[in-house]
Amino acid sequence: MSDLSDFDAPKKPWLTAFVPVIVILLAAGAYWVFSIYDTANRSGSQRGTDEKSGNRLTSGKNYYLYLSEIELFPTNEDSKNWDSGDGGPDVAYSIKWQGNEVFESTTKDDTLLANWSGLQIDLKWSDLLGKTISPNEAIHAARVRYQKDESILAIVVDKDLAKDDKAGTIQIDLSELRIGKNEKDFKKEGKNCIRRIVTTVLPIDSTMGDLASFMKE
Amino acid sequence: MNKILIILSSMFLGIGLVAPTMTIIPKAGELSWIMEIFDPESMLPVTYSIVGIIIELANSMEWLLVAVLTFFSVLFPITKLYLFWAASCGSSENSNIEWIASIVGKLSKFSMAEVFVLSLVLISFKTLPGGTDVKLEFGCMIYLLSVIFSTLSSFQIFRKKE
Repeated sequence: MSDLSDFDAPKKPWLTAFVPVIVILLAAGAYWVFSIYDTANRSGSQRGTDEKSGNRLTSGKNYYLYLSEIELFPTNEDSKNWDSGDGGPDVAYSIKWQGNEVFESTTKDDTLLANWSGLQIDLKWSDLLGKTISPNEAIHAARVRYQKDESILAIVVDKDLAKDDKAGTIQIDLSELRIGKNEKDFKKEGKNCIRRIVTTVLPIDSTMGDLASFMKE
Repeated sequence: MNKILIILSSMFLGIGLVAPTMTIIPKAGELSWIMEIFDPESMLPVTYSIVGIIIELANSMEWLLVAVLTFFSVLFPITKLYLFWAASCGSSENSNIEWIASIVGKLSKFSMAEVFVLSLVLISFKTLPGGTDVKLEFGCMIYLLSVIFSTLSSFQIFRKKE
């Protein structure tokens, strides 16, 4: 026997049974609102905690560094055409750090505006039989450690079969660089034929995803 | 006491449906880093709630899975709690209560069905190649608590009936 009389018992149990349904909806709605608020707060507090684009380099830390874009003046140091005929220069560059060449780029043929992505996988037909590629092989950039008052030399050349023609040598102070892309313009004076360079710097401990999103741009 | 169990179960069910249930961490074996370079978005970990999984399956036009998951994970537990509440509200003289109790009795046999279905989904993800990993999140535990409380509630209803 129940303690409840017919008078005490709810007259419409089917209707009052919607109480759990309402509780379910309220709980789901409350959690949903809370999670949106929490996500907004978290994304706000995370901003600026990591090494992000635009930040200065940190002393003692290692970085990938490469020239993502080089623009040359239309004529060489003697104010003549780069190549015989109308052919544009075949642009390549190397980076020297602490007196040593630490990186040499691939050559971009017949262009005044050369760019490099920093990511490249060279595959041959024979590689289809099986080849292991490491992330380091795919990243085409110099690896340098930032120390105050240190600099690198970017040596830009017009590659030729006989002898490479110098397009210019730029000294870049590492203290001037920031994470991401660093653009710098130059005038044509003396032996300099470089109009503009874009130096890209990325922390070496970045995730592959971060490196990819930077380098693919 | 029974109503408290049903309310708790309802609260946990509501939260469990929208809270993160699992995180899928995609991997492509030795080629993971290449995928991170060329398709970084596809390699990002993705967290789903139960409702999120159903929406994702609907977007992929997997209507059979949508129907099964919606029935066992959403409609079935809600209907069960609805009937449990109706059964716990009525007096023994109420003619409907006997019928409700018999339905509740049948439903309680399937009270772990939703957990079973979730397990199947998890196992299917676990067998993905390339080392893709599935991590259970707190939403799964909250959902499990809802099932436990509703099971306890069904025991109370049966005791009352006897």
